[in-house]
Amino acid sequence: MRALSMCVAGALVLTTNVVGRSAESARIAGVVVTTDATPQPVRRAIVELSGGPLTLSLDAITDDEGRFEIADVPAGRFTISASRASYVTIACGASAPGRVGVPLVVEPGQRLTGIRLLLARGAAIAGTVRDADGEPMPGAAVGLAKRSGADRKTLPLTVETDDRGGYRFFGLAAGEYFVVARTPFMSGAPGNSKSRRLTRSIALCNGSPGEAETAWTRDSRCPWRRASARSR
Amino acid sequence: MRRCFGIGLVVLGLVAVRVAARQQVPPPPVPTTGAISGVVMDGATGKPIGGATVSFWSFGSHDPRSYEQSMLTDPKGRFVFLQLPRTDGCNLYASKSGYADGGLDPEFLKAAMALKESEWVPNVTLTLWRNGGISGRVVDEANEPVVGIPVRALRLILVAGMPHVTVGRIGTTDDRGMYRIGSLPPGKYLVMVPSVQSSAPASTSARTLAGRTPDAAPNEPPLTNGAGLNFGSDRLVIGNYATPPPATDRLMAYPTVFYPGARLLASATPIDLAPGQEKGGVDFALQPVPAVRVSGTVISAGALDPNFVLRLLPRGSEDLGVGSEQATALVSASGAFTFLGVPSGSYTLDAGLNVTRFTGGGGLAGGEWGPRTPGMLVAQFGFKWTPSAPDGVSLVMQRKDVVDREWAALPIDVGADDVKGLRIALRPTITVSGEVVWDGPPAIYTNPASGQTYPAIPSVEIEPADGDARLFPTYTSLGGPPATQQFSLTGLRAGEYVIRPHEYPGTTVMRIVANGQDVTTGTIDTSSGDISGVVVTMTAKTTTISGSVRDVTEPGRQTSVIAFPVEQREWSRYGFTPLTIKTTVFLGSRYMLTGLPPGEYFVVAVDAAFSGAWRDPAWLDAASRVAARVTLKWDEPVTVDLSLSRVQVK
Repeated sequence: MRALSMCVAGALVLTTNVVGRSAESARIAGVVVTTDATPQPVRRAIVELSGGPLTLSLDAITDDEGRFEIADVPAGRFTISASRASYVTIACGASAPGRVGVPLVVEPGQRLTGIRLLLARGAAIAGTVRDADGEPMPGAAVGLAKRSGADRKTLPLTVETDDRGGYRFFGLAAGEYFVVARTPFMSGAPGNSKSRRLTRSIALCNGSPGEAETAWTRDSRCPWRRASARSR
Repeated sequence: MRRCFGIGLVVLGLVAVRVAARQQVPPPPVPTTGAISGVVMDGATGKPIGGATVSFWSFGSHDPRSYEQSMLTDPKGRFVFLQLPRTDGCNLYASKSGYADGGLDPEFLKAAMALKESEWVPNVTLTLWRNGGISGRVVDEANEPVVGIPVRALRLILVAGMPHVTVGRIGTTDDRGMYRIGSLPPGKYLVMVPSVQSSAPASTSARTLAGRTPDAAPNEPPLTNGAGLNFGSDRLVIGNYATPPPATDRLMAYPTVFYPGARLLASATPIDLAPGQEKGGVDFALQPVPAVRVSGTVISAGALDPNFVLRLLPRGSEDLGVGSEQATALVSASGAFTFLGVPSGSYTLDAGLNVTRFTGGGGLAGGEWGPRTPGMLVAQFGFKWTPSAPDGVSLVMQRKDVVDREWAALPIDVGADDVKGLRIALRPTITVSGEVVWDGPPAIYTNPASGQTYPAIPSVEIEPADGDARLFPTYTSLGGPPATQQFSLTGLRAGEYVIRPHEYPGTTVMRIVANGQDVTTGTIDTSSGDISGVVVTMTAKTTTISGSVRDVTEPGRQTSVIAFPVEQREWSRYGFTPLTIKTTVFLGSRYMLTGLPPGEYFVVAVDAAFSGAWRDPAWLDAASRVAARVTLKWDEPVTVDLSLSRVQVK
């Protein structure tokens, strides 16, 4: 809610602060900070302004203090958001990732400053997929899904384990996830041609890494051998 | 395992290319009574490998029925194939995750042995070598991890005996800035952090920027990160590579950097990766540098392609394809272009629709495509088999659907100031045409399986003499319709080429004449324009070298015999397919090589592990000192018994 008030307050205050200019184009500026208890500026975030009459987005890169500025903005109703790899985007005016934000309305010639955009530090889930002999399994498909939450629609993510059976998901919003492992394509021994799945769940807080190890066995009578999973 | 599938696709594709044109009827059933058994072994430890996939492929001398069987080895590494068909040519491939693919003859599509009816070939040993990996961390000038950017391993290779680089798998940095490029076969590698600064006119539609053709379905998702910064009428696309600092009075960019911090490929330090070696600590600290605009106009004789993209490559990196540029620029309809964000340095500007490069430093299938180039059409990829490149390396074409009409390649040096008003005059591509004639009556090819006959007219191809990927045209331009004697090879650039007829079994290239010169083992130069009236003379006559190799006692032991010309000039610059070097890999002690043009040759027998060593002219030089020497004449078979040699390269 604090984020909502910041973004909208900035916009409300500044809509009244229209600087009379002959040119129609507006200029907007603001700052990108983390959702930490003590918000930290985020450098090198990409701020994207889209919608309105724009065909391609108008964008900016934040400086070392997290500040950005976008010039030559036409009047209109826009979506504005910040992104940076390994951070989770929060819509302008929303309090948490995946929530709907508020549009940014820009009047002709307006100078709109003080926009505050939030990024949450992403969490990570990493681990290894092994076979019944404890050998790492390259090429296994590992999926990440969520049962609830507004961002579940952007899931599932799927990655393939590397040549050492390892995988890593990062830039994840806090929440409870399911990690699903599938055996590699065309790895089947006779009687083992079906792809097998193993699912486990893992809960993450902001910025916290988790680790998941999944194992499967080639014995078709006993499809799974569960391995322990731990959170750090 | 995916590679195995990839091989399958390539094999099927090549078989299809070779035979599709020749009419087929359902073949009669053949008896399947042969057997092959053996073991898969770790080349470094000599221990058996359990759970490896072994595949049997039969190519049966242009037999369109690739009879394929696969199985997993048992815990002792053993395999056995039963009920195999009689075949004139077959091969065994082995793969296991963590290992480089191997086989009797690791070259795809190449027959390594024949199998008679009811024959049992026991004690076959297939050797696999563990793959290695390169890993490290990428940070920026604030020592913060650079997240989600590609890191490339480039393998130093020889093609046509000349030095080249091939791109392999891409590693992507994670939230800690860590990357790892795995599945790397042993070899010399350069590691590169590309930083492609892509520009387009600001008026470009999102669809064009995403590389979508006008007829693509409207709901197809975007394929590029379209975020960008507008500078006047130009737009710099951001977010696919390390995000540069915000532009204030001037642009900044991260230059492309080669480990350990070199700006040019030639100054990079190679990493020598042993089988199974893990090389860590290949770290990068990126530093932004001031960058300038390079702008001008492209002048074309006709209408420019709507997705015409200019590429700016660091000097010496011209072999590298899409994703290795320092900058790209989508040309506007009027021909105007601007590269935004070019650091000072020496570059080659390359203009053409088709981008060709070597691939397969670490796996043919997938894993090597980085971010798309904004504005470049999402393409139909094509592969060209390149026997003169190391096993597993082939040529990949970004656009196999077009033949370039025009091209340009020119050096550009960029300093501290903007470069304005460049005029890039595109040159028309070159055509080489001619005909196939016969010495004696035209040969007829009989399919051994179906009994059908066809005129044995080779498909005539053209290959860059030095193996320079950029000079290769595209498949579309190769050869003529099947079974016509006329050929026209289009879309060529200025450079030296070799003409390569891909002949039917039982036929041999007798002579190739262009511009009144015999270029059978020589090159043609397209610098002065089109070349017509090339005459390729084929013959049904042949040459044969055969004999036995002493010292080979184990029936499962693989040996390779390599024949190469006495003339040193022919040890390199022979394109992708040497005409006067032939090899065979076989089980047992009897060998036979056919189809070399008459002349003086060296013949050497070596362990099958060295079957690909002929690609290095230095190895041929060493081999020439221990080899037997033979003179080949038409239809006069030569018998030479050989001893197994050890070739020491100084």
